[in-house]
Amino acid sequence: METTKSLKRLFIGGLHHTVSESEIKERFGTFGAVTDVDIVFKKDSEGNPVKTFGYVNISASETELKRCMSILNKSKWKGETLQIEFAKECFLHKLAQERQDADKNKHKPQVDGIAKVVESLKKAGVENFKIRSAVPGTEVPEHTDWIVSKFGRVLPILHLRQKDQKKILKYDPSKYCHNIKKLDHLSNWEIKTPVANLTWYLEEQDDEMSKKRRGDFPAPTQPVKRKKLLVNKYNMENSSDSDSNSEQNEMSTTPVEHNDKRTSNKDELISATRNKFTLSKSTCADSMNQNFGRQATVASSKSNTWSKAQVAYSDSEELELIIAKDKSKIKELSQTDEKPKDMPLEVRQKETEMQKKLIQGALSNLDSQKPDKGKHVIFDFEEQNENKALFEDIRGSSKTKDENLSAEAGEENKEKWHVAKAFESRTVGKLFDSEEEDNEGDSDEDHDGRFKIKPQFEGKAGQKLLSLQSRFGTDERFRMDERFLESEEENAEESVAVKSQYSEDEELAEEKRRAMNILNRVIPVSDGKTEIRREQAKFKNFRDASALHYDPTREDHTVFENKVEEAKKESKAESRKRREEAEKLPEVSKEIYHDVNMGLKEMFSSTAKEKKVVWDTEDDSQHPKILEADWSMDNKHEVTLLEKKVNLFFFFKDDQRLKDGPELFCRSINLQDERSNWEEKRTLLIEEYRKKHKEAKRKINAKR
Amino acid sequence: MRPLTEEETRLLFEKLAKYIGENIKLLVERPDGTYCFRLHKDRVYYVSEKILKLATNISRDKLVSLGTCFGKFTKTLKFRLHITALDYLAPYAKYKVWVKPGTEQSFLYGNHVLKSGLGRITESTAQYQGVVVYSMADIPLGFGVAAKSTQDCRRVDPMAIVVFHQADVGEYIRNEDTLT
Repeated sequence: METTKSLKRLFIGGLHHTVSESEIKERFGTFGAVTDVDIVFKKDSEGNPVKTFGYVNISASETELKRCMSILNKSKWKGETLQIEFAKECFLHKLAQERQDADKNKHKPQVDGIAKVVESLKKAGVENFKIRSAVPGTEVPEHTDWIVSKFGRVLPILHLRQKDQKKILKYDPSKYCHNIKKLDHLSNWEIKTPVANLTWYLEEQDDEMSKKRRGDFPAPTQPVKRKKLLVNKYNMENSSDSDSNSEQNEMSTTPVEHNDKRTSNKDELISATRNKFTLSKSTCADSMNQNFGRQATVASSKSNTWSKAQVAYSDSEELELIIAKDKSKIKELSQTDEKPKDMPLEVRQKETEMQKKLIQGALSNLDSQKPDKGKHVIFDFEEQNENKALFEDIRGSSKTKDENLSAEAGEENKEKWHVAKAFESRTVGKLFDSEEEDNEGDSDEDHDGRFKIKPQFEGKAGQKLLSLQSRFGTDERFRMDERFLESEEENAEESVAVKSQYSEDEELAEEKRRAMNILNRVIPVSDGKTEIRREQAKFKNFRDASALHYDPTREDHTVFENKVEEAKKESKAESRKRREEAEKLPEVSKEIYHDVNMGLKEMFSSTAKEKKVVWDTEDDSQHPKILEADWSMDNKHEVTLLEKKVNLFFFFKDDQRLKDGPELFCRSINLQDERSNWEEKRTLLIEEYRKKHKEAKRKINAKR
Repeated sequence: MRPLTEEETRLLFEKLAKYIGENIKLLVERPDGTYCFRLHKDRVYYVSEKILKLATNISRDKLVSLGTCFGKFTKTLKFRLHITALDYLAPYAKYKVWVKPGTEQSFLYGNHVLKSGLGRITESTAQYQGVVVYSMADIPLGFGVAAKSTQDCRRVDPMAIVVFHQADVGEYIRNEDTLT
């Protein structure tokens, strides 16, 4: 801890204005000896103190000062917070010091700096900006701005900033290859150039590209302002007229000068001017269709007249001209018409050039004027005045035009007239909803008339009419006059209807009705929508059959296919039943047709009586029937038996076949009986066929 | 206090129709008396004729409210339905949502209803349809807007919101002063 006391100057801010020096001394006296106190009051215009601060010179040790600062800084004193800092030098002191420093610096230029750097680098191990055996890119210890580059050379890292730009680029020389070169051929010690002399200076080139590379961009040219609205043009036209009137002198001087320069002779002068005028006329006639042309005509023709007037004035011997525009114009017009052809070509060409320059000059002037003029809101009245002036001009010209004017000039004037008139009517129509003005002589009266309420607009009906008219704006076709008024009767009825008073109940009922109406609008709208949707859905469902085309890949088209019926898997019971039914033969009557001898013995016993076995062919015919009946009988009764008892091929004992078989061979019926039966039948048969035979014979005989 | 203009009536009915559909008719034309809507300080009140007549005797600045407040028109002329209208919405509600007992409290605190809390929902509820929320004991708790249609409700995950909360009876305690 240092206990040495040093004189320090402290700045105290935020002092209350009632604080006095003695109080400050007391306060700070605890920390050290106070030698000097300065208090500054800053007051504003009314005398109220705005700031109060002070300086204190105190001799105290560092610790004491620190204590002082920590305690008193931001502490409150008489309601104000203190701010204590080490004071910046009283600026007189500062100035003096700066001067001293500047002097010192002059004497010791950068060499000092360099020497310092070299020394510091030496300490780091860099001799003469070289480090031995160091890889490029190693940093120099204690020097962040230096880096080892090629050949062990220590180079500074540069922070470069382009002129007028904020960005600072860091340039690390160790990262680039070709920034240093070893000068081997200069290795001998005699030729040792100092570093300062090694800088190369490139010549500054003055062409555009290198200028731009350096950052020297040319100043931007101002953009040419374009003319916009037609109305503005008209305004400008007017304004230009008025201006041109005032500018006549300017414009006229230029042609006069031109004239003076080129020719000295009067004749030539006049002829030149005349020529100019014709040419101007012709040029103007060509460009008459354009607005510029018009302006030009107005401007240039006027200028020409003025110029001529002036010229004529100067040469008043030949032409008696007054400065008044009208007559001069016309006379000159008439004069110039006489001799157009005599002028030589060269002069004409020169004149055209001059004219162009004139026109350009005139237009440029107009351009400069326009931006301001365009912003002016020009009211009806003012324009009218200007128009009047224009009209008088043209009127004057038109009056005398009957005398000698060429067609061109006449047209010119006519056009101007029309232009002015159209302009006037248009502007007049815009601002006030009044009728057109036909005559200027009525202008005064119309001004009053414009403000009078027209009779058709009076009254309530009239109000309606006015509102109706205003719906259509300023359109001339829709001006309402008396015919459009509604009949008063209708008006009266309406008002009566409105005025009729409802009683409260009626009002409520009315309100209810209205509410229901609105409700119906709100809700059935949604219902209607659903209905519509349903209908739409129906329409959607309609499918055109002709459009339908079978597509096997589509799943829903399987409907169209004829399905092959697959054999159903039947239950066993069902299948068995069917089989049984199939095997069942049609029922045969159970009436036994004949007696069957069951046993063989009986068979043989019967046949033993008659050993003669007569195989009559007559008997045979009966047998098959019996046989068939026999088998069917057996089958029916013994179906199951037959199934179970498989017929063996070989005979076995008690085989039915053995029993039945022989019976087939034997006569079943008694022979005598059979014979007698046969005899009866025979006789019957014979009789029958005899009858048939007779009939047949009879028929044949009858036919014959 | 003034009767509603056509535009305002239309807006009001459109809003009500979202919850009760065509049953608004029953509000407008009641068999037991004439009731009408009145506008006072941007709020819509549903009053009976008798009360209306009495209320006309009170000056505008002194009149606080009359009848039942259905809701109010905002500055941009949108109609907001208040909880005080629940008594008239609940019996005529077309689409209803029943909420499980555990979720009741959550809803009454102003939270949306999740699928896990959904007890029952009317069939064929469309998405963004106005619904009245009931507890399982059929006590109307408030109303809201269906965030999902009935079909979607079935297949959505349990943490998804199914009903957006618009008003609940807990507001009587929470927002006492704004209800007039």
